[in-house]
Amino acid sequence: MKTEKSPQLETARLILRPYRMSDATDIARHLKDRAVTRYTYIPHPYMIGDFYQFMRRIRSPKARAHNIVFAIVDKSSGKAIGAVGVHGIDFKNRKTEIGYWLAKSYWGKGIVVEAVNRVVEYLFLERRLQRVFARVWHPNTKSARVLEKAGFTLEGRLRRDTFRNRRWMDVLLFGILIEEWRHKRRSGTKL
Amino acid sequence: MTDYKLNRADLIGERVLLRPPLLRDVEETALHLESRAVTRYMSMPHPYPFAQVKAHLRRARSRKWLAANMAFSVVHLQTGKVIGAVGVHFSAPANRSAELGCWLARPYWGEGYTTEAMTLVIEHLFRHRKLQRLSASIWSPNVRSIRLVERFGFVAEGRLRRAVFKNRRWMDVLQFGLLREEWLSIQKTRRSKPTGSAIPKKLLKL
Repeated sequence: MKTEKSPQLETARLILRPYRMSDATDIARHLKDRAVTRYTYIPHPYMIGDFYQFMRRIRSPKARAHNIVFAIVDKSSGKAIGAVGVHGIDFKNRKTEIGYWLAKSYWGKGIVVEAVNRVVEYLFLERRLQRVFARVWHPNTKSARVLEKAGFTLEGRLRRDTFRNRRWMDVLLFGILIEEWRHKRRSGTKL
Repeated sequence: MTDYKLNRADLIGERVLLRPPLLRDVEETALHLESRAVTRYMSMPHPYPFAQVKAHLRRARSRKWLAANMAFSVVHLQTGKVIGAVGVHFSAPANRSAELGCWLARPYWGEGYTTEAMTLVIEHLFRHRKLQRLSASIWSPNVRSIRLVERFGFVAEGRLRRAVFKNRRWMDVLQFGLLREEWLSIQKTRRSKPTGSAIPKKLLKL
């Protein structure tokens, strides 16, 4: 099992580095916003204790081998404004699932696309995976757009798979294979 | 979490009995799972070490596991032999859904035992547990299983491309789903509607 030291990734506007305990207040403040967590499994109302509990879970030695949670850090302020989570890394089948969220005041600037692109690059090139997978709850069109921009393909739709906020939702399945990602990069789509 | 007691049940059919696995099933189970034909399209390793089969059966009897799962050994009524197994994995309780999996010993293929066992399980889950959705993940070359779930009216909902690697080969994973009202309407007509394996176009639109 490959465990690596906490990676730090960089893009034009962002630093992506593992969650830290000192992010607690920033992250809890952003995640109290219903708009941010509506289509995720993040609990609502979000309490700072939820953050500590989450940290305990992802930092256990067992979880560390298969999960990385990157904080999205705004270079200009140095503060955590969101996250890209990599969950259930499967080295045998060389694949993983990712998820993400971003503080509402930063929406609409292509920040998540920038972060997801960088994380996907890291997973394909440095962790040698061959497939990255993501799930989106159906009415969350903004999130589906992020994946499309990052080059993911819609692979399916689980009908009425999840019940949350007193409604049934379909789950959209997205995936990207390494050669698709290579092709996209070669063809000069802005990453 | 569901009450673990709920997740223990006996289901009795005409030719098979489904009951929670017992530790003494380990001999027969391990023997059947030695067949490569049985495990080819499942994530179980080949060969499947006896100790691992035993550990699996033991886990399938633990309260913790039973809080979110159900397991059955499929027993051939005439001979009393264990000939297969069915597993049910419940999603979060609010979703009222579960994923199904099963295998049948090679000598018993082609005689409708799996169909009978799945009928019992599906009925139990929709009728007594009031689920609203069942799902199944099937590796793309596993035509027998695809035909099986389609007979029950499962709809192909997705194809995870190149999601598993086994026997030096990459395979896609097909996602199937059956909604409660689809099952109910099939019960009414008493015949399952044939559906194609192609993912309906409308499911691939945002």
